Amino acid sequence: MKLTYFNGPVRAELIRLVLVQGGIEFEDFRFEFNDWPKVKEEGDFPFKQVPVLETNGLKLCQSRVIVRYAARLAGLAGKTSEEEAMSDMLVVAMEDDILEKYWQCIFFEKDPEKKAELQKTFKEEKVPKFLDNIDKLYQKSGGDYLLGNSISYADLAYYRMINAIKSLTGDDIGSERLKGLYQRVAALPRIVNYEKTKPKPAF
Amino acid sequence: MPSYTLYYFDLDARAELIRLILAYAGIEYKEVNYSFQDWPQAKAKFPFQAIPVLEVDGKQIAQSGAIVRYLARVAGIEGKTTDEKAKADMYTDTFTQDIVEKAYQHRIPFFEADEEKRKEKAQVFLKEKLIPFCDQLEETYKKNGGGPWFCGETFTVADLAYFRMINNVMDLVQQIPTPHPEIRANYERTAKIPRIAEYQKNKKERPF
Repeated sequence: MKLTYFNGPVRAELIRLVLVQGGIEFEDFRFEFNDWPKVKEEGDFPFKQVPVLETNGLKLCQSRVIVRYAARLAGLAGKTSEEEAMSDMLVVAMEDDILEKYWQCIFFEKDPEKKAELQKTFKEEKVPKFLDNIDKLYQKSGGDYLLGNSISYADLAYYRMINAIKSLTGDDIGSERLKGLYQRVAALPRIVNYEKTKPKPAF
Repeated sequence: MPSYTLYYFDLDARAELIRLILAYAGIEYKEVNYSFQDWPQAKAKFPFQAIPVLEVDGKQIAQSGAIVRYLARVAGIEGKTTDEKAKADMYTDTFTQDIVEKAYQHRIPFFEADEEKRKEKAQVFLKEKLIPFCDQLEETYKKNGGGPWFCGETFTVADLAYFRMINNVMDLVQQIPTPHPEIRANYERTAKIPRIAEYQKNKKERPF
């Protein structure tokens, strides 16, 4: 199994975390920005995008699709259809409502005034509101993890999300319950090991 | 049989693929539509204050993608193997994210109030996005053995997602100069499925 992406977190980090936590062997192939044209040409990727996951003749693109595939392989996608839908919903919400907005106000928005405004709204309105929504769902689940008593890729996604946005918001965000969830994921032996040994990202 | 309620606006937008899956599977459901005026008060009852939301025996699932995938499973069209599921997933996401979502920029007055500018943007979208996308897709489809479905012998949600995508940008598709016979045939195949044909016949015409 081979994962191809830039040497950075962005759209591959959750995939890496899921494969690592699932104990699935894979080549974490990372290339530098300047090499992208060559990688694109030689790779013959569907829809010419990365990340791409190659395994057993299957070539997959779309980071969310790969995450879901990896989560199923890793047994981290919930045990029932309803649990799978819930974890799906949580992960997509974290991506759409927070990560995409984060990248917009950190990187994509070039106008300095708009950027400052977006960052302010992000920190002061979007993040607290979102964490409130997650906390409500977390409470309802009645367990240590977002789905209840078993860990799923939604918990890894929460950990990844906080790691991504903390440069803007700090990591002292969310309820005590959510901070506990973060710590629980951060303490997982495979995750500890991954964080210690992963290549230093270019960005 | 669980009881299903779909909450959305009276629009195609992010609920249309959901409706197609429900129609395909012959699943009975109730639909609750909000007007833009009623929506602000109604928001609070949904997990992320956004719609569509599908309520299944009282349990709410938000996020159109999650709902699509859940119903595809219920309807038996998510794909048969893990690999097929991933492939169907990949196509569905690509059709939805790369084309349908991007098309809102030139279709919805909210994003561009000036009608002339919308027409210009539509032409740019046609030349820079839609045509290369369809060219590539036709190639991929042929490379994968030419169907009959995106996952080969197995009909999946990807075929419904493609059908929805083409319907969404039909006015531009009709302006594409080079024919794409394989993916065109796929569209026609889906259109002929009795429940889909029936759904389309009775379907309400909406702005987007």
